[in-house]
Amino acid sequence: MKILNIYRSEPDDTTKKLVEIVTRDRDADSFDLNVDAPDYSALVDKIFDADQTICWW
Amino acid sequence: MEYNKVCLMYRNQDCTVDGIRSALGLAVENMYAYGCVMDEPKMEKFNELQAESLEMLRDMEGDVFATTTANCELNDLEPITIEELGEKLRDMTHIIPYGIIKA
Repeated sequence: MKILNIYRSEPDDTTKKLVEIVTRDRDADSFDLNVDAPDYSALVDKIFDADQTICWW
Repeated sequence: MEYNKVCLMYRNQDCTVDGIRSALGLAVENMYAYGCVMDEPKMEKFNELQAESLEMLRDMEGDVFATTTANCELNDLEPITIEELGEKLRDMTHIIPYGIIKA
């Protein structure tokens, strides 16, 4: 299973801990929306490439 | 038949009750639905309708957890640690960090 983690804000310790447990022994990718100009085209590709997408706070 | 399992996580008080209602709505749509009140929100005591929503969710095999003892005791929520929540999330088909974090 490949999991895509999308971060809407800088992940804090709680989010990092949850991501670490959820992605343990699994493929994982990430995308940061908390930047000046997110590459939405790349985001769409990543979403289609993943089995599960989690959009964190 | 495979059923969806959904967990919503709440990190601010404004969205907690609304998020629990969302979990109830998903349970009505035949999903296993759970909610978790995370560390920060200090909840208010449920009114009668809100307590009834929690009861209905439990009747449909869902539940609402909380990571703080105060919230568990106030609204009769199931205690859970962040580590236990993480392990539970591994079993979910959908994981929903609900609402936004308020500074």
